[in-house]
Amino acid sequence: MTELSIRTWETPPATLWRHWPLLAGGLALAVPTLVRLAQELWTTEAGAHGPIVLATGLWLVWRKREAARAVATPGGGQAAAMLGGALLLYLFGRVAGVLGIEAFALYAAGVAMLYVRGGAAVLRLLWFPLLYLLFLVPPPDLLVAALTQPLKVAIAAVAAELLGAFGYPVIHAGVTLQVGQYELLVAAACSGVNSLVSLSALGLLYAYLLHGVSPRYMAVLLLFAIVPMAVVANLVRVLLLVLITYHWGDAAAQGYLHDFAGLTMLIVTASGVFAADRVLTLMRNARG
Amino acid sequence: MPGAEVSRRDLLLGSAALGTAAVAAALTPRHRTTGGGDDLAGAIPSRIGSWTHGDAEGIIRPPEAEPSDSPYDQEIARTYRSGAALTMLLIAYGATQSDRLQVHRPEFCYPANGFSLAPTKTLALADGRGGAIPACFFTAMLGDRREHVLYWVRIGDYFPRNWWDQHRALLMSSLRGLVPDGILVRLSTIGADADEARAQLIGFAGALLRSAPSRALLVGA
Repeated sequence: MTELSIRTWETPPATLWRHWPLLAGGLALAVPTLVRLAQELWTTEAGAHGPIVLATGLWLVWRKREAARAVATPGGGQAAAMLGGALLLYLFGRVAGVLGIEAFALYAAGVAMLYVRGGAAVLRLLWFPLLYLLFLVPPPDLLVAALTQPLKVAIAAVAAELLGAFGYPVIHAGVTLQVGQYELLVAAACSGVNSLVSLSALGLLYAYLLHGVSPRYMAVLLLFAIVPMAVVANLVRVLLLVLITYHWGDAAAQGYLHDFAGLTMLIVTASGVFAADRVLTLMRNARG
Repeated sequence: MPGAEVSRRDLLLGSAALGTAAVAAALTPRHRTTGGGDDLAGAIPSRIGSWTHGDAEGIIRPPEAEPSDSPYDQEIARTYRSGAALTMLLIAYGATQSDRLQVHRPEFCYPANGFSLAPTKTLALADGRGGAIPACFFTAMLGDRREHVLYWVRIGDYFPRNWWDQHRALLMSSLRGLVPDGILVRLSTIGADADEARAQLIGFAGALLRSAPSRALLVGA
């Protein structure tokens, strides 16, 4: 093959049309699941990142299609077995009505199809988009509850301490915060902890687009910047909620909770992640 | 440029996916069992045996995140008094059961409100028809408050005692082609003595099942 290649611009429809059986089959599997995800998950705070991850994740895969095609070799029996397993799991998830299993199996089937058509090399090339798309799969409720419950209580305790230090009459009792004459249910205020997953997804996307592929850096960023920032953002949310309740009453606090709490969290976390990213990048560059 | 012919692999993969989707659609349970939970409040009387209905203060509920999150189609919370004794009743009914519309267990609800729990014990509760259903009893503590809780969960025809049982009940119902309804009935009282409280709650449950016109809703047909 000569180095001089005239690149014909293939429009997306043309490329996709060639693989129409894959597309038809894929859509038949994906659409019911995505509809259920949209109805049950994407409207909640915990799952709001769904549509964004889906759109950006597919776009990331699409970006690499030329490079992927270049290294594609048909996957072997392993790939076919993986696909078979994923399809069976999907069937199980659908019939049993467990959305988590259904979504995970759909994801696995998608990866398996790539494996069958493109081999392990393509999977390696697309490792980040594929990992990123995993954020679409809802984690098990039990796991989420076990992880977030202690965090919620801890945030409430810290908030009470901080405000107490500034002279506010805040008492932390179990899962309620008594501020002045109002009683706030901590769980409602802290439900922002549920958006930890959303924020992680967006943080990783940001890092990927800015710095390209670097697993170690992403792990570092996630652990030392994104997660702590999300927790801090939630603390800020609770503090604001308590302050608003104390100064302007319950109604104002409810208004804040519904309209701006999510935004506050996003802004605080995003700023924190940007700042952390700059610092970490400087440190990396300094080390050479 | 490669020709426009469709690759055989694509056809194979596409058919496999399409086939799976078709089978899934065919097997997905469609028949919804409704135990008549259309009017939950009306189904539970204001007088149950010697108990009369009061307000709903002090009843522990799952901390609400967002209203839209509520998986329950209906919920009632009432206190009943008989002399000096108080029983708190919480019933939550979900006509549609899927993985995300799980009936929430009190073992999660109470800790979420800050309580610490003594271990749960299972007991057989007389169901008012001569049989018995599995129910759970535990004591929750927060500061000076000791609340004793007796509850059961019905999903379709099953009475799951824990999270695993619950998932299994959903799965079995699905495999039988049914989308089951689910109900959580929770009785609790505050007091120092667990045995006394348990006896009181069992008595209340018996009275409830004898007097409620919707026994089928509470304990199945």
